[in-house]
Amino acid sequence: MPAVPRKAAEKARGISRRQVLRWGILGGSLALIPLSVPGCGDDGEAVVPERGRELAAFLGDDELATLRAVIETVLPIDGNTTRLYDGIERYIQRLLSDVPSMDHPGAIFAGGPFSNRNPFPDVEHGKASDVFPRNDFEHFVPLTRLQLLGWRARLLGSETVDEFDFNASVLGPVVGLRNQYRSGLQALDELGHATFARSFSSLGADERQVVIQRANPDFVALVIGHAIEALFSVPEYGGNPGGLGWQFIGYDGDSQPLGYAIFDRSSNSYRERSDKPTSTADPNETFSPFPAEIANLLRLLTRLAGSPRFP
Amino acid sequence: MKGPVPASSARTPLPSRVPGVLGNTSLERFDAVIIGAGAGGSAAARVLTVVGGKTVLILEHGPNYFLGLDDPAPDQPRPLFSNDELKLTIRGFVEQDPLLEPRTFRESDATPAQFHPDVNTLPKTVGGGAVEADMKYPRFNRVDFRLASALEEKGVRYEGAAFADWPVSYDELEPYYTEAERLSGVQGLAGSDPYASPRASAYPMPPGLSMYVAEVLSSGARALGYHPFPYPGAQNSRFYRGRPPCNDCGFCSGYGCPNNSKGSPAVTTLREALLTGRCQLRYNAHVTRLLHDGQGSVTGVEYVDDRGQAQHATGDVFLLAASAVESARLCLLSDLGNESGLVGRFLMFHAQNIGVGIYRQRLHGERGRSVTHGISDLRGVCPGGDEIDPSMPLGGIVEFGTNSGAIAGAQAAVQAYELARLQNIPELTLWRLIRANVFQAHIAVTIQQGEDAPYFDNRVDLDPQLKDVFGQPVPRITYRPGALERAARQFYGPRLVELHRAAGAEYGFLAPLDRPPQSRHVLGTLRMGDDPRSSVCNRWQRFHSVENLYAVDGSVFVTSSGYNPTLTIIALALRAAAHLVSPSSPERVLGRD
Repeated sequence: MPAVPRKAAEKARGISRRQVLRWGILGGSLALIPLSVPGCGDDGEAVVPERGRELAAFLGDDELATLRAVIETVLPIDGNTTRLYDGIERYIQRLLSDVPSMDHPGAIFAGGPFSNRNPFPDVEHGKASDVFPRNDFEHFVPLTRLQLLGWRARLLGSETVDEFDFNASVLGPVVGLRNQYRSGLQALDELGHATFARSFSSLGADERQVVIQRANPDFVALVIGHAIEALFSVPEYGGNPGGLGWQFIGYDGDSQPLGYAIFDRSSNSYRERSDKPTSTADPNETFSPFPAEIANLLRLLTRLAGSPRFP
Repeated sequence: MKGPVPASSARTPLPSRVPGVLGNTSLERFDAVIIGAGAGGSAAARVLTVVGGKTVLILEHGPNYFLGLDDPAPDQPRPLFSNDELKLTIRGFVEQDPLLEPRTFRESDATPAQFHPDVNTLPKTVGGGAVEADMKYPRFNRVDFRLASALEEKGVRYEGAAFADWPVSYDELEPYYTEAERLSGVQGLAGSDPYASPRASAYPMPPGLSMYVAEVLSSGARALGYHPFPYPGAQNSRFYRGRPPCNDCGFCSGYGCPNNSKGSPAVTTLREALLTGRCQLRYNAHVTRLLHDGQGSVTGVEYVDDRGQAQHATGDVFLLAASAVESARLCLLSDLGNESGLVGRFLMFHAQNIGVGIYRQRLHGERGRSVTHGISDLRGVCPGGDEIDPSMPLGGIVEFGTNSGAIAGAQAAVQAYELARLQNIPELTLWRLIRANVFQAHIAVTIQQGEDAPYFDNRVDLDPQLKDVFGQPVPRITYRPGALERAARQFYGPRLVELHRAAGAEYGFLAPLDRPPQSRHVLGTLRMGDDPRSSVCNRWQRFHSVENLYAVDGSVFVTSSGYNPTLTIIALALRAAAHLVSPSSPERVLGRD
């Protein structure tokens, strides 16, 4: 008799550990609702790219159209945001298509230490230099044997990976992301047909909302989670084209090798950047109140958090 | 037809001349075998090789991202870490994979343990947990090492807590603290924390720039009569021992340092050991068992290499440095050293209570070293750190922190939006909430690293059901807060929130407790002491019942104190290794390069 109910265990296995925020910096303060992702069927398909050949795109045109419609429905973005949506779509397609193998790193861990977005500091004079590094982020890091096992199971499903049956009798199989997407998108289309006699992507905005409300919430959460990753991860993963996602939230992204504290060897001390100070508020900071809808939400969160609290 | 999507075909070169090995690859016979290349294992390796002239083999479970770490060129090559939130904090670049190495958690023996994707795991990688930490390196108080006596003198009791005095005093450890700070490169300001115990010398480096969020919270702290001080941290604020000053890139807690400004064990003690020619490091090497003769002597270790092949290594002396959970687990898997029945017992984290404040202004937590200031006023000791303060529960240092991660902030927005939807807040859309960036730009936290008392029932043992990818039982963590931790949360919770009000926050609340706790301070399980009936290791961290086995990680801690533990792990490991090298005068190893 398993100690953990099968369905709960399947769900738990799907949770990225890091969706529970780490290192005490925010700790439980933001884990207000546990995120979970689904366990659905598994068709066991394994497509392994061969080195030196272009990878086959996993999601086909129809699936991509459905995916795009889902993203636009669950994350309506104001303004002209085609590039952001393109980035999210590209990020998910790449994650599902670019599967790592023994001689191929896939698109799991971008390289390091630096992108080419920021210059080296000139430590002799305490300012930015005009020398930029090459972009190491473009060169993905090869996986170790264990990392390969884990990521292939996560993408393709544990039943396609040798050596992966060690807890199946207790926790059940790991359902691969590929199958979660394939079956999740197919289910949405079927729901569209059942409800409005049309595929999901051909529905109007209000109709899509109706269908999404009836869809598997785990799949919706999976897509939103990946959309967030795409919007705000470094652009080398395929989303966030040109750092556009970061611009929307006023965030710099990666700052190395310049950083914010520039050492000046001549005075043996630090200089702050006047445009982006470390120890003071930004020069243009307005201290303006939150908009009403944000303030309403923050009041709600504060109330739900329980005491002690203020206001 | 869209796609196919382009794939990266570029490859990073293999990390060393011999795959999977750093240092002197020709060594075959070893005086000592160390399991784990983190803070404790690396410190011990440095003493044994640099000062003691011993030959050392280090076996590290995780991968190596410090390419060329054993290259003697003065400028160390930069590692593969980067300002990449997805890679480091979401996809677990330096973490064990919960699909391959799961853990289970329960709050008491009465409930079945359940799989959880993250039960206090520490990074498994060359350099260990400190690679990913933001290197907060305070010392413990003098009273910490005689805590049971100090509590008894004041008539303070916490139901069920098994406090004990350490078999080593602060004064005995002080020179090793100094050495640990010298080797790691710690910045700080002596005399700035009124609760700190006396130190023989200044910090190796002065504090770097303050973070804005720290200035804001410090102003609130001062208004309440507290004494904020620059947090001691192993990040260079000067050129130091061949490494550059930190540039406050913002990706500190949760990230490896891309330019070696962090005094991570890898680029400090471990590298120095590797450069002696007497040290060999095999990484991606997972130790499965300690072999012993049944007469109290370890004869070798079995491990699995990166190709999945079973391997064997041997030496004269063996040092466990795999973390409190993994070192204890290895003893249990090997049926070794547990004559007291205490292996795995007295597991401690820190009782982390977190006050959350939301501020009108942007706090730009993405600039700086994650935490630059804190207070010890809520530690529960008297100024000078010699006595406990019986007017309050034992507490801990409070870190002034924030959130640097854009993805983390947006994930929080998604969760908050789910709550808001149920309440139908008009005009609020998910995108509007994400764009407001409340949980990245406008949030500050007061994090107390509260004393976590040792309780007999809080422990790690072997899970009866789940296995890891190597076919071995996984760690089962049994943990719940006890009398002290409940009293401390009651007492300090309001104060952690009040500090935000005093600092000008618009909203403030106390974060709910994590279950399992999210602390990365993992301590106890192989407690040190003089009595073999009530401890596992002796005062020099050797097992009472195994003549050639030592523990040099957080497992030997008797109490948890209320300060970040890594510097104390290093100081203890230096001392244990110094005693191995020079039993009659261990302090002669100090200060030597």
